Amino acid sequence: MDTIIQQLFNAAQLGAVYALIALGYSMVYGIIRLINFAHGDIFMLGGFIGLLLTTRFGWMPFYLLLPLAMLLTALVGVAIERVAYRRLRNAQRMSVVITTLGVGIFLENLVRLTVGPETRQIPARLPSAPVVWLQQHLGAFVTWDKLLIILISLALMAILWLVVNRTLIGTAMRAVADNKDAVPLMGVNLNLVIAVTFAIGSALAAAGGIFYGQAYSIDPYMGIDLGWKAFIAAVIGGIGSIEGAVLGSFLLAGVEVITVAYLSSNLKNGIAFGLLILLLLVWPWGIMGKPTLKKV
Amino acid sequence: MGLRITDLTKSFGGLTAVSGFNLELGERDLQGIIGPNGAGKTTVFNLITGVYAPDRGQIQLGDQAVSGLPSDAIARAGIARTFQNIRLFAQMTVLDNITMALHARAGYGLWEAAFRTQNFHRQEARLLAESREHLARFGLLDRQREAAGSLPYGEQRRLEIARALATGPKVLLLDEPAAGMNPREVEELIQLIQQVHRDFSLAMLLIEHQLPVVMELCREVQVLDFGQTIASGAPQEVVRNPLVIEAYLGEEEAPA
Amino acid sequence: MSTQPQPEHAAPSPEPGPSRVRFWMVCALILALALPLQLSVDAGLFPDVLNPYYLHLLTIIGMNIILVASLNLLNGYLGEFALGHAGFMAVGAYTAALLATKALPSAAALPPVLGTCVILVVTLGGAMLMAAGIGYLIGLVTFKTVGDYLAIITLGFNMIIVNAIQNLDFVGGPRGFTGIPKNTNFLAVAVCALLTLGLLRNLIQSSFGRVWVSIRENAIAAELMGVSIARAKNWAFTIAAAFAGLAGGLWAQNQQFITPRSFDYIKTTEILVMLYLGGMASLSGSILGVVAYTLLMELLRNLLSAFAPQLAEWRMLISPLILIIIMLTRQTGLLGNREWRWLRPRQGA
Repeated sequence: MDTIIQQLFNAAQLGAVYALIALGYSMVYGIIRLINFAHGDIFMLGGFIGLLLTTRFGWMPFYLLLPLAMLLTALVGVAIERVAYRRLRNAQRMSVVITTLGVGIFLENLVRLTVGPETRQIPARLPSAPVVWLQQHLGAFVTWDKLLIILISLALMAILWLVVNRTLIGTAMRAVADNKDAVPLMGVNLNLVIAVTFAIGSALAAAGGIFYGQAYSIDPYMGIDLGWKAFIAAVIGGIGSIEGAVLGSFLLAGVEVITVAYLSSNLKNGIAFGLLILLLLVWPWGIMGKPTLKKV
Repeated sequence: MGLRITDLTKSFGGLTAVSGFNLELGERDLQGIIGPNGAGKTTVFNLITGVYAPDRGQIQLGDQAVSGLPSDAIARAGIARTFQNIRLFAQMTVLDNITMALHARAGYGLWEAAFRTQNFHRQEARLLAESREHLARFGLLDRQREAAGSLPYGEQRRLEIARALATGPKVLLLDEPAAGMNPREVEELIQLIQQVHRDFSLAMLLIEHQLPVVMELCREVQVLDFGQTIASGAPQEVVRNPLVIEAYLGEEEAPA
Repeated sequence: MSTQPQPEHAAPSPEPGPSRVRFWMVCALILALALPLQLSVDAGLFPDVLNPYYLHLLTIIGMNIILVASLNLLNGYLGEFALGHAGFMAVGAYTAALLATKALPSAAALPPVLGTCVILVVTLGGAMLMAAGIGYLIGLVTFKTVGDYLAIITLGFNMIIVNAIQNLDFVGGPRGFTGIPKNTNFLAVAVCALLTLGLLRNLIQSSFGRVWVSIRENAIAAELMGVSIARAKNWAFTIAAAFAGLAGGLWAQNQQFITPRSFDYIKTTEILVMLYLGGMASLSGSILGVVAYTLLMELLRNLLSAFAPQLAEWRMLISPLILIIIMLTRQTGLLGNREWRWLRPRQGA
């Protein structure tokens, strides 16, 4: 019983990180139908920005450090969109996808060459004491940082939900997702909406990177692995859907934690991709995605 | 060997696009389907060619039931079509558009193609000759090396009809061939369709929005409105049918 | 979907005309140069001019041409966006490595030249068959999806293959496969690359190729012309996988040491960079892209290390930048979808 609850928290923590990344994939895809292959590397970059801030500005409290890292990563995300993607908006879709691949590899190599290829851990800034209540009542050993990571992530997702569903810019985002071509006619600044989407996606990914770096470790290549997992999660949930991205992330993390706990940690990537392929065969549009009708 | 359709029905999420459609198309018939925009005409074609699976109903090509088969199998059974919005292989040459259509009769396998056997060269020469002959029939031979997408509109329509015929169909479906054409091009198109009807042994079914085209070409038409056949018979009688006039006048633009 | 829509003013494809240079002549010329080159380097003649390093570069170029040209079949001619090519390369490399070390007697026990030929035919044939088989199975699953999902699912299979190899202890797992005999040299790679180009060209300029391109141009129209899309795509996928396997087999027996990580998504991306640099739907473009990219990378390595040795690694930043710049400025690559005359078909035969 106690180990099951512990595993549940492990899965929730991993799922929270996946969700923070998956949301960026899903939002960008929802709005401009682009698979942003560089998004996993934005997540990696966010982790390294967090590492930099933690080590250079040791005095900075976590509640300042996290938003600052998110802001800086958001700026990078917006800059990349501005420089590399915007002018390809009306080009062949695959050209943009390939450009995102290039941007991703560029970021990976940049970090590897400037910071180094080593695996690092972000110094813990959250309390790592066990949650006494959980230990006494459920016999589960869960540390405060794990709980806080889960809670802050959920809070960020709740804020995102409010932004998308309750604000003007969120309404504009949903309008663009619905019909990109009609929106400029209605006086909405398309460039602004897309930039905001990239900013939000990158900021969330940065939070994910910092959490991941605290809970596990970071290295320049983690964007590939984690990014892909998160992407799978987004696809499983139905890419373009916010609720789907979150649902898919927790689902994938659950499957992965079970695999590691009861089978073998070597199999977890294989099983994640196997799950993706299986799901795409059963639901080609994801759990929450909408099918499209063939037009002739 | 004609086309017989009984009780063809299809709905999309509660909206009935085609309901109880029947058709008896003889071996060398040329019939028309007319109706206002959104009446379900193209859906009928999509059902016949297997783009959509019908909810109900039977489609018989000669003795063979084709309803429910995949599109490519239906095409190989002998139903070819053109599209309302032209669907050529734009970057392929005019010649390759036709030669491609002969793929089912290529007469050589993958290995023979990979290693260029004698048989490959022989068959390929035959395909090329057949394609050129076919293009010449449609007056497109001097365009053979041009990219299909660079042809003028009227010639693209003609190439699309030629390509459909190159598959050697028993039934040809033409989806609004006169759409977007000027009066002179329409006149040429009417002649082309008459010529095809004369020269090729097949049945034709024509969707058209412009009544004069159908009146000139078809001896029998059906009028669709909201997925239902509201009238059928000789075109001259059908256009006097009050239901048809009402359906057409319901639109902003009355038929020309 | 992968090539640019032809602009309005696009020139009609040029009159092929009787080109005097034919494909077989180019092959003969290259082999006539390759044979003495290989022999001289092996014998250590003219070490100043014929540096083995140049031969090594040419070997790399040859293997990359096989990879890029076969991926072009999928991404250029068929118009799909497949992202798993390195996975099939891995299958070929490991199959060849296993055959070469476990199944075959050492080259010493066989007559000198003939023995190597037999070993190469068996190992490379095995590599191609295995990669094709796996490619066929994956294709069955993959081509139920299209577009974006196809890209994801092929990349997913790339990762599954690498992951599976990492979990196979008898091929060394994550540590890699060592001790593969060096059965390949530049000459063998040149023969294989020319064979690949010839076979791919023949297929592309046949009914099969026309069907593939028609699927790219308009899948619905192709289907309604009686093309079984899934079948046609699966053929292309299987063939491309077979040639990726061939390149992998050559690679394993040239490097003598392979690890699963060398076939991951970085490798696939490198193949993509060369492909898009050269241009889609053009075998000439594939050749040019590989040569230009490989030479550029080597040039950068030498230039940068002339300043400071540790700078050489910074060329890894240039490669993705090239990709981005191509996409931003010249999406058709160096050659667009034009073809060199000696690779064009003889029309009107």
